[in-house]
Amino acid sequence: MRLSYREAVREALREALASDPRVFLMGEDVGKYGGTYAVTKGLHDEFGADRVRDTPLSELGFVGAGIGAALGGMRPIVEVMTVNFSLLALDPIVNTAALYRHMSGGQFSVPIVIRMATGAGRQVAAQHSHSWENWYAHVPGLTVLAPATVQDARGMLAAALADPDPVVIFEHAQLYNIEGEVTGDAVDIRSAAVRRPGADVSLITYGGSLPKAMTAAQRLEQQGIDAEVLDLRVLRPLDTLAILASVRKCRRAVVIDEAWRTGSLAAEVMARIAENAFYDLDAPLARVCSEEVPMPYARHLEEAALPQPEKIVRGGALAAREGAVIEFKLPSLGSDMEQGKLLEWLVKPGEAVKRGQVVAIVDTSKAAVDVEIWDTGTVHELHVQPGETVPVGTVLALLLAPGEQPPAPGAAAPQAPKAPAGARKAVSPAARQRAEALGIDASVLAGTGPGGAVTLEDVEKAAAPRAPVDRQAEMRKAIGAAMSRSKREIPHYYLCESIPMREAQAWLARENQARPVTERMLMGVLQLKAVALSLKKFADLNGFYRANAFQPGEGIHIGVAISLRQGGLIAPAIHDVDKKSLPELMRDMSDLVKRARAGSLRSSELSDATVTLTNLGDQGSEAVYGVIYPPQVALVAFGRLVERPWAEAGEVRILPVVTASLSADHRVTDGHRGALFLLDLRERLQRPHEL
Amino acid sequence: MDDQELKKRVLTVLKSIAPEVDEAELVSDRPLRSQVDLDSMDWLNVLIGIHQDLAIDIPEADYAKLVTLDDLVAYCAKRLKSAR
Repeated sequence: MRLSYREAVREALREALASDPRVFLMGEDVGKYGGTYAVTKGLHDEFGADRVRDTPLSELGFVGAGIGAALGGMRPIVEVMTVNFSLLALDPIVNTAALYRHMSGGQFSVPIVIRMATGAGRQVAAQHSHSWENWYAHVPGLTVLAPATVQDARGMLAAALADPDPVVIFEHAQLYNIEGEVTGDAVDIRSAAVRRPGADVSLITYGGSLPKAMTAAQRLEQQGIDAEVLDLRVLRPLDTLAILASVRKCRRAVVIDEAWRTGSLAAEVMARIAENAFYDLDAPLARVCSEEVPMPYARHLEEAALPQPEKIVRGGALAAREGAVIEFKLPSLGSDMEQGKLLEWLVKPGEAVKRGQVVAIVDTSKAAVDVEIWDTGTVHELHVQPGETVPVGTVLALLLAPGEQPPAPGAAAPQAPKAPAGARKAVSPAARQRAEALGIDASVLAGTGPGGAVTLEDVEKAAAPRAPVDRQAEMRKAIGAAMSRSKREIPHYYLCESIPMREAQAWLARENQARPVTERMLMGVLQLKAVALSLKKFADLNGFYRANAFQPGEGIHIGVAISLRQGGLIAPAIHDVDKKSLPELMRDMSDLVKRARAGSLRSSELSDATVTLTNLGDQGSEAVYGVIYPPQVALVAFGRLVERPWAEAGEVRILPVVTASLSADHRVTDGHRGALFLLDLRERLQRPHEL
Repeated sequence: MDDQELKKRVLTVLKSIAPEVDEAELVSDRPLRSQVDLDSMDWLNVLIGIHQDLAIDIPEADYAKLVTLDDLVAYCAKRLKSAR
């Protein structure tokens, strides 16, 4: 049978009046007038003035009288015109109806049903439009219902009347005109109901917000997001298991509640999810509530104040889709960096930024670094102020992806990465974030949290110790931590090869003769290029060892070890060395050394190196065996060029010779492979014109 | 430009590369690169600095002659004179 919500409530009342002589209706204008919302129209004529009773305008009086009648054995259905006025009757409802079973030691119960209209959307202004469901749902001893469908409007009343304790029913005034099918099936007043199954995000709501959530779910579907809609139906006791089941399935949730957000029922739902399904979440919880203002009278303001499908769509999309709000975190500028001090923002909120743009200057223990951003979008909020020192991985700013509007205050939900499907090690979000920043695989750590979950502390413990204040000491400590980690984790093997450099030296001298001093090249550049070309052939020496596996580098970005005048060492990257000419590399190197010493490097230079090259130059030792810079898997080093007696084909000559050495990670390559690499390098340096 | 002035100019260039240099401690007739920590890139930058300041282009072949600060100043003086 197809009925309107209003007709469904009326039918339920009619049935109750007809089937039980103890039932009577009472309230303001429910009789002759037929009810403010015309719900009881016709019942006064049908059942008479004794059973459909008009009352004076005193909620305190007639709700109290209803409670007395219930105690006396009747089954009163009391209508309060709107929830706003019910506050006048809050004392008898909370202090009497809800308490009597307890106060009388179980001797008395109060089988009253109190119906009231709730909610906004009809331009009836602040004194008629609020939602107080959460106040009632707070009180033990009450059952609180929010029928949001015609079927529930028809069926919940009978179940409420059958309950020996007080039941409060909220009918959202916007729902009275909706129509729907009604079946004869029994309706329970204990469970929530999935109104639309989905897999990507759970929209949890009740009452007047249900149709809005359903509309939002349809629009999300057009965006490729499969939203589930859960109708709470019963606001006390909450069906926690249904909430958790939906959230565990979708891993993301947005709660939609027409009440103000502070202290709302939405907050309670979110708290239960956080208590019970914390480790099942892939995104922070979000909610869409009304703006915290008295409900405006003007239509456009009222609409703006209420949850609307657009806001729900935005909240749902933010929770479900990666990248709507992008977190810009302090990058790790090398495994020896623990924290950084933000010196300056080069962008401001509202400004469009492009991937690769320098947006901030951060002081690491080694240098002031121009930090580049890795996403394109619009700066939404700056979270860290100049002068603040924060650990690696801290969110510095939020960006909006291109085409995104700023989220409504009720729907701010920064995205979190989607977890891979399958078995799931519980890792707290804080731990996950920190582990990512540190390049640690949190899922392999031993967890000390609830249920073996990996906590932030576990990740911190697994990472290198924290650095203190003094800049020099800090850098020493940072290098120490990275090198200790290297020696602890990386099974190094070392190889060396003496390379005669007569051809290279002669070729370079010829090249430089024709060049003005400003364009002169150094031997180090030939070595740099030769290493890059050899690495191209031996790709298993160029890349990273992460999460128990080798990850080849996406280019040949060589970190060039540069000693700093004030002491210490930094190894910023020259990108794509294999693709650059020698003069280009000379310019890059010269520029890099200058900027490294002036302390103005770019973040990508500090984070991108796929291998490290140490060159001791003409002032160093004859050979050096370096410590690999994790997570890299190899380090190539050249000692000082020295003149040596060199035996070849039975003859001894005096030749300039350099010792090249390779330190490599035994987890990725073996000595044989390393030896072939060094031989390849040796060949290349003897054919300098091919570099 | 007299030798004192020239030495001052060369030292200015040197200090722009190695700010920690203390003129008072620098022995001008002892090997420069054993007294000042200059790697090959720094040394090249010193020569580039001299080129920019004094317009003298020192060819690589002459590097061997430039061991001490005095060598460097004398070399520059000679080159400047011959240029005139």
